[in-house]
Amino acid sequence: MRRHDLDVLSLVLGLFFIGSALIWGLSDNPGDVAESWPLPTLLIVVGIVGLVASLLRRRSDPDD
Amino acid sequence: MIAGVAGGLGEYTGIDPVLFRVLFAVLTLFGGSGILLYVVGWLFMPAEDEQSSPVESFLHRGPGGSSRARDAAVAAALVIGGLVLAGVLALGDARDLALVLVVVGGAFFLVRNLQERREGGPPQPAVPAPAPPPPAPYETPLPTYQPQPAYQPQPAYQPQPAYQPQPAYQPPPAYPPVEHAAPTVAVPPPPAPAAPREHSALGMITVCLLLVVLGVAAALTAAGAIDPEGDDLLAVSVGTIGAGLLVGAWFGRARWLTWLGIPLLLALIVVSTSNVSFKGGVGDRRYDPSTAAEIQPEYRVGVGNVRLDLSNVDLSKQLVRTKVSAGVGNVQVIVPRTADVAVDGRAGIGEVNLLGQVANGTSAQRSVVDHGPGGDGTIDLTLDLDVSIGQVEVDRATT
Repeated sequence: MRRHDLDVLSLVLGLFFIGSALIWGLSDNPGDVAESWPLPTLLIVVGIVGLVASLLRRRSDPDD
Repeated sequence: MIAGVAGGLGEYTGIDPVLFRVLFAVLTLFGGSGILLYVVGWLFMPAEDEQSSPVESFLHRGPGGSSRARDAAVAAALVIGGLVLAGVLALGDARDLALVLVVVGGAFFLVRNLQERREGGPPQPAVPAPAPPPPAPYETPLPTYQPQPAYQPQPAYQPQPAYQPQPAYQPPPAYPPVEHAAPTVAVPPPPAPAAPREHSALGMITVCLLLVVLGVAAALTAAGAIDPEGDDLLAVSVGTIGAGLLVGAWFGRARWLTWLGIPLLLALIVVSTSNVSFKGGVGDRRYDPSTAAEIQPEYRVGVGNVRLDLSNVDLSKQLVRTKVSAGVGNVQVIVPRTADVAVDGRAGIGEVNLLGQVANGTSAQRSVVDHGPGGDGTIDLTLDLDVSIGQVEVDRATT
């Protein structure tokens, strides 16, 4: 597998899946996940990572 | 007509309908035996635009069965249907069933991936690619583009005729009557036939790794070393797929893992938030104890219905306690006509009906103390009834 340019979609979805697995898998009380802080934190962090990654990519590759 | 819905969804979104079908199958599974009807019905019904049913196509390569995606869908449905049924019969436990589903799903994607690799490309998307007007067969895009030399302005020709050999490349309205400037330049280069996508082993490596992890977990469970719940296995699966995608952000290519991850994540959320425990197996249970001593302290089923008929039990001698629970399904208890009972009933999602007192919705709960006619007023029987998804019902025997 050769290294390639950052694939933002894979990055975002990968982080999202891993984070979701941790949140729901490790939570003591999964019924309350939707009303506690880990889920919004995950969504915000993943969203920001995706935003930053795609903006950085755009800057380094103006034709994109 | 789920198959039609799945196909329609696939056409609408441009996503291979196979994915919707797998998703439907997974969802149907949690409801029970509907999957059998679904698989059978779909396999033997020709779709509206197909001349033969999927089974016919698969077996005989009939006129409707030429498309590779359709073959893959049929093969997948057969394999999934067969293995799920085999899994239900052999394992009798929904936790293992989830495992079987994961393994089968992984195997299906492996096969599909191998098939693509052998035939040199992913199955054609359901939505036609807009770019090249000529109906180029997907496998051999290059020859269709060879007329390119015709674009070179021949010295003997006037500029305009150079357009004429290639009307297909420009929609007619694009030609204003005359005097279109610079004919030698205007023809856009034909869309570069996308370089054959580099095949990556990453997705397969992830799936195989996942299978190994789940296999080890199953082996350890069988050996008694660990006792994972269904949501633990699902969480491990979702996490592994996420890790594969994350690697794919820099190395290799494994975006399709998303389509494996989404149904697994949905299943994880449903299973863990509804707190469904599938322990207790699958199937309908009926118990008709005839003496108080025969009443077990606990009855449970993972997926299915439990009916506990106590109408023939003489409860006047002692206080009897029992618990009845179901993961997905109904719990019904019939209490003797004259017994004095105290009942707690809970349903995560569903309905509780205790001797006519009803609660429903999410986290439905009822507690009822009910004295039978001619009872002595002291409680003979306490019931603790619990379903995650389904109905709790207590009735009094009429005789």
